[in-house]
Amino acid sequence: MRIGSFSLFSFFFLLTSVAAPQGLAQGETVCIIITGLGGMPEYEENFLSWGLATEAHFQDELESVVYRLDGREKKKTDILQLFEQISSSPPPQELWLFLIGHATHDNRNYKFNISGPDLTDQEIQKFFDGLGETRTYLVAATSSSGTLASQLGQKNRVIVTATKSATERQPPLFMSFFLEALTSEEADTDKNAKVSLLEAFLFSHQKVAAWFEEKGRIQTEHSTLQDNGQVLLEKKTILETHPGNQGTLLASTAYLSRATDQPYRTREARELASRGVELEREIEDLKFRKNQMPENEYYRALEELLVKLAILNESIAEMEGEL
Amino acid sequence: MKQLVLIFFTFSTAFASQVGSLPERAPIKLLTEVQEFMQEGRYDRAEKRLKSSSFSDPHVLRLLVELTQREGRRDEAQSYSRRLLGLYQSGQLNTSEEIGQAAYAAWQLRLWQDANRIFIEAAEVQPVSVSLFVDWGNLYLKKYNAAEAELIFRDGIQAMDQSSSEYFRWGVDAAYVGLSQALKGQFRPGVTEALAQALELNPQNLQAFAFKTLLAIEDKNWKEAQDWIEKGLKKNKLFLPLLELECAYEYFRGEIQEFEKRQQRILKINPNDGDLFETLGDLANRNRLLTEAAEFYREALQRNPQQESARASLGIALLRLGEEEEGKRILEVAYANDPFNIWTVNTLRLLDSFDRFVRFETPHFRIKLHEKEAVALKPYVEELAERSLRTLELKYNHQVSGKYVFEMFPDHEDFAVRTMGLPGLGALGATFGRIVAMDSPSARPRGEFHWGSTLWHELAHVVTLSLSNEKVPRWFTEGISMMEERQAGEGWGDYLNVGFVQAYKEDVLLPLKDLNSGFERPESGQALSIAYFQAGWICEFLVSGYGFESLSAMLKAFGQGLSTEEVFQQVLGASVEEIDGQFRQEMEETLKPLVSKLAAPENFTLVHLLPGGVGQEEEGEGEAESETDLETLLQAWQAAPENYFLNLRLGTQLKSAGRQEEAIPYLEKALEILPTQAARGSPYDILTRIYEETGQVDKLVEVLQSWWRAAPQFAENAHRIASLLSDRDQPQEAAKYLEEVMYVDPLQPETHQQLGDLYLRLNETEKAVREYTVFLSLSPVDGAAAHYRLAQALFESGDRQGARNHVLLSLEIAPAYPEAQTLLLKLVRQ
Repeated sequence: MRIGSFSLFSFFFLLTSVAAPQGLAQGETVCIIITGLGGMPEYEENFLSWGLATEAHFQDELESVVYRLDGREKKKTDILQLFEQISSSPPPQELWLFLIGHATHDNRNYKFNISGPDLTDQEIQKFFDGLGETRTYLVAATSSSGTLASQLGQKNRVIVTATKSATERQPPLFMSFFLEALTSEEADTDKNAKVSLLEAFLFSHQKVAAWFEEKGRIQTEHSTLQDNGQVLLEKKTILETHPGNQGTLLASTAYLSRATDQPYRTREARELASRGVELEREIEDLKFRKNQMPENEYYRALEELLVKLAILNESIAEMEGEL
Repeated sequence: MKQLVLIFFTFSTAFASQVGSLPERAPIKLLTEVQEFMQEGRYDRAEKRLKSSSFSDPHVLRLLVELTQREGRRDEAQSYSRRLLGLYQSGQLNTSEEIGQAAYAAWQLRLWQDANRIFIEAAEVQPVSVSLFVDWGNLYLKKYNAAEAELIFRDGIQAMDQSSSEYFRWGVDAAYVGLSQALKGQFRPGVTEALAQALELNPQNLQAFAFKTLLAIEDKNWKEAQDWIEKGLKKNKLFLPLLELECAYEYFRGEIQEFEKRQQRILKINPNDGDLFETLGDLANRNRLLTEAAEFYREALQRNPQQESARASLGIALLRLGEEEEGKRILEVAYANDPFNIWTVNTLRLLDSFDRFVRFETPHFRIKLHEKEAVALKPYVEELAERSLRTLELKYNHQVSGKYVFEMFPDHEDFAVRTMGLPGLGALGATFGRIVAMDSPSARPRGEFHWGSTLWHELAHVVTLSLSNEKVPRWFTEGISMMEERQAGEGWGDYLNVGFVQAYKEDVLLPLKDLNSGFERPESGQALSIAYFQAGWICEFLVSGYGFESLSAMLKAFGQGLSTEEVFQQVLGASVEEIDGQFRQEMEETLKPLVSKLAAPENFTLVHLLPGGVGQEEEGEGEAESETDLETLLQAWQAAPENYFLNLRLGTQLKSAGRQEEAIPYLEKALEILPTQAARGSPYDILTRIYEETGQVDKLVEVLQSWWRAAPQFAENAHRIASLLSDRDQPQEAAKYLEEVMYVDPLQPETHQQLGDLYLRLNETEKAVREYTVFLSLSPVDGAAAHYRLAQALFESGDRQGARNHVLLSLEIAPAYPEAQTLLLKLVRQ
């Protein structure tokens, strides 16, 4: 693609004014964080600090290529230029886009509020469509974000919105709890020492509800998650009635924590680990069939598999000298 | 609607066929004369006089309706009402006063909406009649809408100058009586003032006499009640409302023979007098004599099957007696017959919501908890309920009979409806009949509500009401409950605060003889709080001066039906006034020294010293400004070093200026002056912040512990203490604080998890199991960890199967959970 001199200038300008300019290599994780206009000092402070915290996490913990744009200074053209740059580079393995700020919906379009013309859902969609097979994760921590789930959701994408509809217009608290999830043991519900996007979403979803209940206020935001264009997780209870579904969700393998898995020292341990992965898959399959089986039978089969897995992990630990 | 049109058509044609031409109006002289006869009790004469005149006069017909209704001659009353309505329908009524009579007729025919519509029409005809507002307001009172009634009566009072009717049924004095009733119906102040206005305008207003009598009976001011009855009956010895109240007076004074004679006399006048029995029922209800109230309501319905207000009251009384099925059935009928009764509607809605309550029983209680919090609350509620009742029964040497229903409501308005039939109640708990109802912890914002002490308070009522056969006066049962609350736990209940000292200083504390009215007709929420505190202090005074047994003896004496004066003389050997004098002396000794210490010093106002609340830190505009303030404050302090507010303000401001160490002595001084003032922004609060910021951990623990003892509703303080003690390897002490938190804030999952962890550390496995079970029921985010913890506790307690079940549930969520895998293998291998 030819880059004109003006575009080149803009590109360099962008590189000097965003937080972590790096050249993109194929297979990397890219994180774009856009914080919007606050309006009031309290919101401005929140949006900025959340943006900085997200940036720090992705840089330090996940060693991603991070672009943070402050919508108080950056215009839509800057953002679109960055989108263009990424689209025209080798596709990253994963792309994360965080929108943190105020947004509105005028019955036609979602509009993320920045200085000058707002960034619209169509522009985001165009960007995503240009990313091909890249796994794309959008966290829209803004008001009125609910429509993005159905509009942008498709294969290889996870769309998380802080509100369930365009009419939830209050500035959401969602992002503060989402950030808390990133380093919380409590959020790591499957105890694999990593927090996935799904886990962070569920944690935040529950914490937001608890916050409103504690304050005795009507809940003005209800977060949603759309996964691979198919599943809309508006209520945590869906997971409770379908425990087996979680492993099949894209969001459950989109990790927000650094993988702590160390390579196994022994060949036997590696083989056992591979068998362990199979066992976990069998467990997920069994959970998927839970509602189709008598309860006793299910738990008997589950226990059998879990014991096998536990013995296997014990053996691995012995082999690796951890016990 | 079609039915109404048909009725009107029938009336108008019937009337037209009878009359044919414009009706004659009765002379004003006749109407005035008849009203005087009625006022004097010469009802027969009045009726005769009216019947000799033209039937086509709306006022004549109206008065005939009243006279026939008075004697329960329903069919005749209805016939006159229909005729009167017919006059309206045929367009023969012109003035506001006349049209108002038609509205009254529609009302008597139970055509409520039409009555209202016609009243509206009457009010648009100038000059407007005061009388119509009185009838209109009374309609709204009858239909349970005291707020709207108040507005109408006030309009009537305004209309006083406009009306130029030569004759009117009611004057402005009647509007004031109605206003008084409307205010009472909303528990608003101004009741006695409005009545006073009525009597000033018309010193012979019989309705005012009756209402005065009712208020006196409610307050158990028997002498006053008797005086009003005598006054009224002197004027009109057949005035039914007064005769009914006299009957009630005799009943509640225990003069049963006189009561029965009076009852017969009244029933001779009106065999269908449902009002008599409804009044008796209402008063019995008010005195917590619910079984008797229910009987009276039944009798009211027997006499008058259309007495729907009595039917609704019966339904509610039965619910309060724990007769849920029958109560509900009766309320459903009441609703079908009279959908205007908001108490009925609210109570039925509440009953529907009981489907979402979990019910279980303990030795003395049938407990209902909302399903969303039942698992979390059950262990604490059942333990505390049984323990408090046991303790109080032993203390007062009295065992209550049967089981009580205990209900906790996560929605405060449901509790209000259960108690009052209406939302908007300020109380936290209530005991009536066999029911103890209260807010659950989730009904209130965190940090505001100590449910444990409220429960104890209510169960003290159970014992005192039972011991006194429900006859204990309000102030005394509340006073004992306040006292018992304080003795139930450290910091539980209410303690001396600035507001009470202020009330003492302003000399607004009620004398003991009037203390009941402080509960039943408080001037404000603050006045009610003061009444509670005063009552509690009086009881503590009686215990210290006359021994604890004096309380039991007094309760028993009240149970025998003695008056307060009689009880005091019998048990304490002194009059109410004498005891009050002694109590005031003690109050003076305690409070007088505090008055000056709690006053605003010269050149200051309390508002200046308490910006936005006690001790709130201010961010100055710059050091210079805060220094100037400090100088001024220091100068003032030098002149008044014992002033609580100056010490608090200085301490707060010095802290804000970063001069922490200098702030401490002032804050400690403020604490010394009034250690019971423990709200946020108090010296406790500021000292806590200082010690936190300066890292003085030992002092921090000390001040937090003092603060917790003074105000155990601030759960976060107990959490902090527990965390600090746990860090110091003092798990036993840490656990104690978290246990106490359960009486304030039992619905936080983290608290149960932390307490469970501590119990495991202390090898108290059963308690650990309890805590983790509750933790799990609160749907924590980390379900795998919650199941694992419970599995661990069950394993330690020896319940292997339980442990196995929960470890599987944990691993089901997180198959690779290392700790859970280890436990699973332990279970399968052993």
